[in-house]
Amino acid sequence: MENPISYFFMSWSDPYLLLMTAAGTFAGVYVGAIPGLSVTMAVSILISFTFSWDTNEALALMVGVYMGGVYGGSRTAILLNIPCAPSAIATAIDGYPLAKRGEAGTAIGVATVMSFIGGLVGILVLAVAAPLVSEFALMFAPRDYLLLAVIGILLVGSLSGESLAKGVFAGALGVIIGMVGLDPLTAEGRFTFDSITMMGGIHYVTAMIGFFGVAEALAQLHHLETPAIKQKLERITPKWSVVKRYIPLSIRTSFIGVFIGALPGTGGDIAALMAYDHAKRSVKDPSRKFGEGAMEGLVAPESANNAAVGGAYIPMLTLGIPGDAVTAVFIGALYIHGLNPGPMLMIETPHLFWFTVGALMLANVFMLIFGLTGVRLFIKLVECPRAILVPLILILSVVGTYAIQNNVVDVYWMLGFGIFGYFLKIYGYQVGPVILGVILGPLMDVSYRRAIISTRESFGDFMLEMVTNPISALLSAALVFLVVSQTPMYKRWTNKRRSV
Amino acid sequence: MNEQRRLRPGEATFGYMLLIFSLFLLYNAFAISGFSSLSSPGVFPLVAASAMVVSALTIILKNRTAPQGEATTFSHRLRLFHSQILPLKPMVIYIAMVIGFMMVLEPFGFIPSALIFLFVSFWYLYAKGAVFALVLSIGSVAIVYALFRLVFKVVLPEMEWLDLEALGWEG
Repeated sequence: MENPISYFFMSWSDPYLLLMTAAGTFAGVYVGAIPGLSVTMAVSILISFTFSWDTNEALALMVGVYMGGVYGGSRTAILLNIPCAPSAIATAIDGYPLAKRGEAGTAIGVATVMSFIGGLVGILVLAVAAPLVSEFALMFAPRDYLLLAVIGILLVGSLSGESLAKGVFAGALGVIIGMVGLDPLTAEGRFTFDSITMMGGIHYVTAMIGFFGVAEALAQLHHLETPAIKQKLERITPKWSVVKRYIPLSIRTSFIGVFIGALPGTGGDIAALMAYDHAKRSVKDPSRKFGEGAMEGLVAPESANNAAVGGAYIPMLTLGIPGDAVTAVFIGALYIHGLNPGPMLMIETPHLFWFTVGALMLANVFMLIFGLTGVRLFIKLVECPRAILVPLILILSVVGTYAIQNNVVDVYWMLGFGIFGYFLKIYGYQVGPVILGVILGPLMDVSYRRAIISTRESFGDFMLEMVTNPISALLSAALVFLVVSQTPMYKRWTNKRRSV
Repeated sequence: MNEQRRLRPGEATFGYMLLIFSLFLLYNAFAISGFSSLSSPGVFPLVAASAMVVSALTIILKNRTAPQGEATTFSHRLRLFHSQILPLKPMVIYIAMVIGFMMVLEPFGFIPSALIFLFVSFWYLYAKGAVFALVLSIGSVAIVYALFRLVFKVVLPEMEWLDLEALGWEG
């Protein structure tokens, strides 16, 4: 293998890759900050345009969008109390009260610097931990991948939605969508209804654009009358003395963020909420009361959600298991470019790993630059009416879907998923597990069948291996706990314990 | 997690529709290879479809115990559904416009169909006058075309009825 450092700095030294990373980060910051747009939506649509690109160029652009998008959500959370990204929900709790006090500039500046620190910690942990996890992952059997995938889908479903039942429904629906077409092992048709068009399956990017792009655009039609909120912002670069004061908390919560982000199924949103909770418990003398504009309440989630980006890359690159909806979309992008995320990715193409780490670091630097500049442009874009945004999102969704296979049937599927996704959203079902299911469904299917074949189709032996092998036993226990923790009985028991 | 949220108009019916859809998928999953073997291609679809059926049933049961919506009669529920979930204006009309756009996409090609779609969309949704909508739609299509067709080299639908090569034009 060539020197990893040369791959790390590839995106820094190649002007075109540098430009791609910068453009991606810029787009991410602004897409993440515009109400009605989300980073998942942006990456989903973007993937379809990068089919014919060189892998490095596509990765550089998408890494930038992801890093910038996670940060961008904080701006509207602070200014408008609208967390455009789920990872910015915790930011709004203290960020918006700060803006109401006329400290929006300082709040955005501090959020930017803390996001940078969080991103830095996340990337460093990724660089150190991923090669170790990858080696460990070589010990994983097919049944372990099955368990990990099920845990991932259930975690996303239960933590981000209204109920576990809705999360399970959404995840299972995604699995079914992912299995439409010919079976990869026996070439038997599954859910094809004898249609030749269906035999090729449903492209996952079609589902992604439908569920994230079109469904979100339709949901935004309810908010056409919402007036654009005018904001006054001048200086946003924070004073060094302010930054210095919060660095210890930032580093602490960054480690929380990177750990939570690295768990399959948990992303920046959970990381930010856990970090906020940690700050609330551990900071004895906050600048103000939490919930009323405490700077600590802003520092903790912003550090954690950007640290979670680096964390989320660990299971994605080493196990092929996405951490959340955005990383699920990223795995789709890697497949498109002929790469197979998992332990072998690190062995066969280590240069890609170091390139990704370098691009993430570069995107983190660009995030700091774009985050502290361009205030006027930002305000103009945030004020963009939804009546203009919605048709543009739909046009981009159509272009992106058509670009997958140059087939208008994909566009019809996309619209179908979009309308169905709209109803799911409006009735409290999360669409994230659907996408996780679409991506992980084929992996789960093949893993299960390999595992059952290895036991000569003995279900008893299959179950026995689930509890006797140390890794499988640990994962099975986590899965059982996850399901049990969602039962009313367990909730009643924990509530009783808390009250005691 | 808020389990005690009041049901939205149509939410209970949506739960039943999901159950019917899940049962349909379960039937089709069984049709793949039945219970022929534990490693057959139909096993995992059966598991996934069964999970959908069970979760849809759980959702229906939860909906029955959740605080019901404000409507008491069927017609009132229907009215609320149309006003809160699927209003004719702009939702239904706009979805119809999107379907229309997709239907003319291939025969008309990207530029004319996108131009018309955007013009009508901006005019209908933004209501700032036809001239504003026209300028905005021309500008948007120009940027989208230049960026995606010329820079990203994305293939966009061409005008079928003006396919000169298919008509024998060789010049």
